Order: sequence, then structure tokens, then C-alpha cells
Amino acid sequence: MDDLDRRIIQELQDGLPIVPEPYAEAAARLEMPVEGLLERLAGMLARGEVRRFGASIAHRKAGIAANVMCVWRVAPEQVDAFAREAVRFDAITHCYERAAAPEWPYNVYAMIHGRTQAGCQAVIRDLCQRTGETDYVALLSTREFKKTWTRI
Amino acid sequence: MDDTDAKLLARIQSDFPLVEQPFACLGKELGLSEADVIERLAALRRKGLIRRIGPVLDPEKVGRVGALGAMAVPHDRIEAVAAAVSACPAVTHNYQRVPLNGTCPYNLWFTLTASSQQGLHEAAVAMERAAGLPVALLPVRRKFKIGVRFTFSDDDANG
Repeated sequence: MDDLDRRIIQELQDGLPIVPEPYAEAAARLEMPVEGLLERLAGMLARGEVRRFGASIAHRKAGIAANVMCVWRVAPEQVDAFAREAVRFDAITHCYERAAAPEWPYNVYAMIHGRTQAGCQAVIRDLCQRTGETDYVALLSTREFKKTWTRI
Repeated sequence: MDDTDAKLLARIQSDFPLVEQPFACLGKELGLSEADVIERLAALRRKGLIRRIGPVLDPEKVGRVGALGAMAVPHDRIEAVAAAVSACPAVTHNYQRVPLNGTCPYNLWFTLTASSQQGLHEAAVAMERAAGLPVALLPVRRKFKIGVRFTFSDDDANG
């Protein structure tokens, strides 16, 4: 990512205007043609620096009201097999292995989004059944204090 | 939100068209006029369903490091501590969570990003000082899935 790439991201990271030519203003400020800006954006997507380009949805307002972060304690040699099953669920949007802490032995995290809490719990039960991993704690999010995105 | 709005939202969460007139392009795909697409998306943004349309960065590939942080906050201090955590510029997400089963010592969970491991630790230390409470930092070892994409179908848990 060079300096021009960074400046393009800085122009776009707070959101495109919803107008017929939404890239035009940013391109004009950077004194480059829209085509050149789009080519660079495509390059950043191809290299994975931009993970995706699109809309971020306020899922609670869109009716996907329940969010559960479920943590499992999985033996290190079983983590891969567990993750292979977990990622197949559409409702599981994120799945990470994290370091455990002294007071917190859980090492696999899955973020589950659903319309209801019961729907999220059904996903958890299903995953437990498929993997045989049943040492978990389901943590329901009850308040969102902050949600923003990585900026540069 | 009607069916057309749901279709639009499902379509634009990734692969937003990289062309001079992306809303016209989306209209063509979905059988709508450019003006209709713009009107609908502007309304969805006004209502707060769309937070923004833009680039979602991979923190590591743009030189950021991240971790999940957790705190055990006494109930009568949750507002004040959550506000102090949210005020930290390194924090991108911050939630109160309660266990549906079992027990959990932590009730405040947040994600942090910084430009270095040292920056991450400094942010955590500053937070500990502001809150007077220890922060458990839980760094990522491996990522198996990182994509949020909502389909808005009627299947309960697959939404």
C-alpha cells in the first residue's frame, strides 16, 4: 500500500455519498481520474488490504436482533476439526482461535447473529452435536456501547 | 423495509460495483432504475440501517494489530467504565455481554486495534488506569472466518 492508496482509503473510509457518480468527488480531490481510483481500489481488494467493499449494515435495526459470542474450550489438536464445522454455518459470521487467559480457559470464539436468541442457541446446540465439543459459554450481547470500523 | 430493499441490502454488502455509476449498474442487475436505487439506499441510510458504504480494511494488512479485551465491571459502574473504554480511540467495538449458560467473570467486551503490539498494550494500560480495573487481553491465534454478510432470509438463525 503506497501513499496514494492510503489517501484513496482516507477519502472513502467514512462512506460514499449516495449520488449517481459517488467516486467523482474523491477522485477530484486527489486530482486523478475516477478510472485510476477504481483501478487502485480493485488492486487493494485483490491484495486483501481491503477485505470487502460495500455496505455495513446495522443488523439490529434490520431485524437481526440477537448477537451471541460463544466461546468453547477445545483441545489444541481438535481446533481445526471444530472450526471446519463452525464456518459452515451462515449464522456464524466470525470464528477465531484466541490465546486463553489464566482465569479464562476458552480458546475458540464464534460470533453468531440471528433474529432471536433461541435461533442463536439452536446453532450452538447443532454445532456441539456435530463436533462433540460441549464445554462452552454463550455470551449474549445486551448493550452496544460502540461500533465503528478500522480507519487509517 | 420491503423485499426490494432486502435484496438491495443483501447485494451491496460486498462487491459494490467499481464503476463510475455504480447505482445504475446495481439497478440494471436488479431491474430497477438508477433513481429508484438511489432513493431506496438514501432512505435506508437515513433510517440507520446502512451505516456506510465503503472499504472494510484488513487491519493486519494495513499495519494494524488487534486484540479482544475483557473486563469484569461492577454493575453500578458499567455506564462509566463503558464510556471510558469507548472513549479510547483504539477501541472499535464495545459490548456488554451476559452468559446464557455457565459463568463468566467478564461483562464488558471490546476490540482494540493499534499500529503496534506496544501501542496495544499502552492502550490497555491507559484503560486500566482510567477504569481502575484490570483488562484481560485475548490476542488472535488464527482466524477461520471473518466475513459478516447478512442475507435477510426468513430462516431464523441464518439471518
